[in-house]
Amino acid sequence: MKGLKKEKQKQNKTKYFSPGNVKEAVEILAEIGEEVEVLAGGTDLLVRYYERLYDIDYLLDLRLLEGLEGIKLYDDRIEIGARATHSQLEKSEYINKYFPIIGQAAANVGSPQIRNRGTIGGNIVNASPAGDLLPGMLAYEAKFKLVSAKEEIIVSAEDFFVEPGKTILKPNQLLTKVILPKPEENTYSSWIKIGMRKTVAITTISLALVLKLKRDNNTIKELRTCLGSVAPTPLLIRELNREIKGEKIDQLDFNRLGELVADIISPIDDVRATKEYRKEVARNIMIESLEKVAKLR
Amino acid sequence: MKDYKYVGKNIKFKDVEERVTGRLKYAGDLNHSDMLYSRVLLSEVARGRIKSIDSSKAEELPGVVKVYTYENTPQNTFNSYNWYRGQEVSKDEVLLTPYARFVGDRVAAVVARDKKTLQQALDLIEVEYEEEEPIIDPREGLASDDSLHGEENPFAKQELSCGDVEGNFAEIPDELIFEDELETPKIHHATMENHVCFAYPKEPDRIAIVSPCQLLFSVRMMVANMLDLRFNQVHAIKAPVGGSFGAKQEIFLEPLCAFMARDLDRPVKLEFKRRDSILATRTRSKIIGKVKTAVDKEGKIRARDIDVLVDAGGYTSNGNIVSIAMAKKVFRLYRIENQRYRGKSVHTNTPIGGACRGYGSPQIHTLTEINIDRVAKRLDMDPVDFRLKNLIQPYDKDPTGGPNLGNAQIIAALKEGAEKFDWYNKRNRKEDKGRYRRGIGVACCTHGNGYYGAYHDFTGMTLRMYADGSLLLNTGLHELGNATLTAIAQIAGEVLEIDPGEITVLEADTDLSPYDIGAHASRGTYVCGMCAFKIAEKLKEQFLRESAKVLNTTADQVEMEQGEVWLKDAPQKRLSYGEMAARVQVENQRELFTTYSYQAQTNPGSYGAHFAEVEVDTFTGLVKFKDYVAAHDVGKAINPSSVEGQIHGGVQMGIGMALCEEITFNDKGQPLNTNFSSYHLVNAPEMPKVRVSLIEEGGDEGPYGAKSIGEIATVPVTAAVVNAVNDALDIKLNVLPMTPARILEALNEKEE
Repeated sequence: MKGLKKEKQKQNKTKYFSPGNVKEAVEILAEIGEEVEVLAGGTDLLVRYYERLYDIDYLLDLRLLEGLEGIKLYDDRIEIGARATHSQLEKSEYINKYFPIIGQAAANVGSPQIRNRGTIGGNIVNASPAGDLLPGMLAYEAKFKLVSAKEEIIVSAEDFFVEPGKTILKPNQLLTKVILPKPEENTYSSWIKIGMRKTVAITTISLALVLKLKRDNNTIKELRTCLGSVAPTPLLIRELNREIKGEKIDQLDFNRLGELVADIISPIDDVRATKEYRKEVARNIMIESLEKVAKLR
Repeated sequence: MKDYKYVGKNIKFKDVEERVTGRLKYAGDLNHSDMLYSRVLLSEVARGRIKSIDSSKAEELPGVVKVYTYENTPQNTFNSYNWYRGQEVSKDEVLLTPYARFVGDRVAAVVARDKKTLQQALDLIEVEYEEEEPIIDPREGLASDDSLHGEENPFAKQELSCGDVEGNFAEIPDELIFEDELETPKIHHATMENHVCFAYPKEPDRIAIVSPCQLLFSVRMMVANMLDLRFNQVHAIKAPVGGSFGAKQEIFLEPLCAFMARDLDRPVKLEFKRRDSILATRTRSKIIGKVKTAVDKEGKIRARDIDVLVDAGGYTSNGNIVSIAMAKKVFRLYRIENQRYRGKSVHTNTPIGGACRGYGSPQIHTLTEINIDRVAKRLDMDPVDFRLKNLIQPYDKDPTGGPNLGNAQIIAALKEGAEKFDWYNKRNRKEDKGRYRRGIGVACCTHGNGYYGAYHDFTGMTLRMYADGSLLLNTGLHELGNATLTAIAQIAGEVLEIDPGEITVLEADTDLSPYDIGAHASRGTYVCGMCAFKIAEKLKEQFLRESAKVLNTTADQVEMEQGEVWLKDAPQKRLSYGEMAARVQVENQRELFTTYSYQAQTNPGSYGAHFAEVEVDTFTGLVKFKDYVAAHDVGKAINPSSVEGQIHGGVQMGIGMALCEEITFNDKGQPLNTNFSSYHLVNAPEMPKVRVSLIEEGGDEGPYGAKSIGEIATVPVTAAVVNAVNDALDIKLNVLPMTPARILEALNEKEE
């Protein structure tokens, strides 16, 4: 693989790679990782480079790469290949059984065409503050497997996102897998996405909530609340959990939690909504989410 | 009413299969050998003189043929709205500008051998601007004497009135005077097909221009004017239109494309991308309006006073005319003896306003119909009843001296719509208190039927019957996707007693067709359809006369029906039209052929009443539709499915104006949403099921009594939706669109 760059400079054209397996892919990344653009479904990449494909120096196409597809069930976890599409997630029996809000979030993404092409790996590494699969990843304590030519490491979703479009993924690493630990008994979840319209809309604000109850199915063991589109990265609100740990869900003041969420977040104005709107709706959908999970018991 | 054979029937649109299977060749699909591709570089600053343009890097790029800027293009000025020779217009636009007046102003054009090179070439052009402080809010434009074109700002003022407005307002107590304000946004037409045109040199010394446009003969004129050619040196050809809605009415790309093709002596295709179309075509004009209505205790409108500020954007275009069009509408819906409209048009450093479905009518009706609703409610009257009390009656006069309103069936439309919608029961429903609140709204409207009363309005056609009985109707018309050509064939077929499928209707081609003033002003069916009716009658007379010669009798002894002709006395001996036409050629030595020029003589109102039921989520500010009824006085639906389809589309656009469509700018004039991921239209899952009622009472001059539908379909929608949302939440939103954020803000203000 040495000498790739020279070749590129000489030709002044996009250099295209289509590796057949992970090993080949990470070797290419080891050589030219800094400048390479990775193509999975293309729903973000081809939009970003619309009419400007000439700007791509090196293109690493994952579409023929074996080993990144499929959703596998294990005793304690589910593993999702990075190339699994939103459509696959939406229709997966395992996902819908153990992580229903990942399926719902996948179903809310764009249009059928986008869902058929867009992948979970792409959604994660693209790291849009509005990425619809991300809040669920944090709420369910997902882990990502990152592979380089040197090593394979597992990182937590909570630690992965840095800022819009930026993650801890290094140029020589490939995200190959998403690992979701199977929820314990008495775990309930809710997903709410608010956009300008029901379909083909970028999220204005979203909320993924996972509630774990103790054996009595009432005492709160853990509440994991993660909002999308209110911060540079998906925002896991840890304070909330400290606030209510040990309380009983049937005695919980949902409004207080809603207000708390609204107080904690500091969203920005953008073309989709104002920060005031996002704060108010955050409060409202927090209350709605709690009502939803309380009813699921 | 008479039972017709073809009129009033849902006959399949003439090119529908080609359209839905993708076989129809749009201008963008055309390819000539030797063809070059072009795109335009748009200004990145809202206001500033160009200090320098360096296109050398772009020119060095392999594949680039030439880069055009103000330095190597003609600098004669034009107004894109100019549609006939002799029209007085303010010409302030040039093909490529040395001075950017908005983000989106045309600064340069690149011509290259292949499409792929264009964007890269555009990226390599370096433009330096001497930036100036832009005017973004039209109110700023009014406040300053700063003009973008070395003239006064506002650059135009309009006034139209009847009766004694000030006297009546003075007499009415303050508690019976109701004032409202409204701000509407700049809106993108969102045609599926972006702007595109294609020019190629023709020998000797001619130029052909292919354009999906609404005014082909005006395209010819503008190209000739800008290139200093005679009209007969320009051959303009209409391409199929992939959506227009007024966006392709104004002419600004074709002269540039034709200039480059002539300069390079090569075919050139100039295409816009979505961002280009949003910024650099035309937009629905933004208005800021005020309306004041005085009523008496019985709920009769005594006087009304309207003030409108029109934001024309960076260039004049129709910025004056659209205000006059708005003015005319307000006198033709309610009986208001004392009324005044005053308008001002200003330039701002934002995209140019222009024709957009309804031509000001949706904006002005939204302003006035929101006000009418509030007046009714503050008088504690039902909004439908209040309207019924004040609406015009059939054959009322226009109090400003405009054309008679004709058989105006707005009262019937409002009553029938209210019944279909179950208005009174819905209104008596208990108020929602929870998270979801339902509300209902109604709005009425009027729109015109052609240009009679304002401009010359005429069209010409030729019609021939071939020797096999098939027919060719040659017109200067423009099919814009609303089945105009199908309706024209239905009208001619009805007269001639022949299946419309036997009639080929040709669209405009300036070398071959009779002149037509273009597809604007909702004139397609009412005016051009009438020409088709008249010319079919004329050919029918000729056919009977020539048949009589063949049959050795007089015309009154000949019968024709359903494609057959026979002697009254011998109905068993029938000839097909084709057999007769062939004998006419052989025995009478002539072709069955006629030509006709038709002038419009009336311009009645079309009318509509829309009803919306919404459910607003007070947690999110999102609006969902529960019901929608559109009742329209169309005189007669020539092709009901196309009428209904146009109504559905009109509702889609009007809801967009009410709830989500807006080109937004920051205070530097930078647009914030220049593609469809951030400029939201109402898509199919959001649409209500639109229930349509058609009032078909005829009574006017149009063919079989038909009146316009294309534009009016979108006119009352926004007002009905705003009224419904205001009804649901008991708020008074007056800035459009009512985005979720604005709705929640209004709710919060109310609670405080």
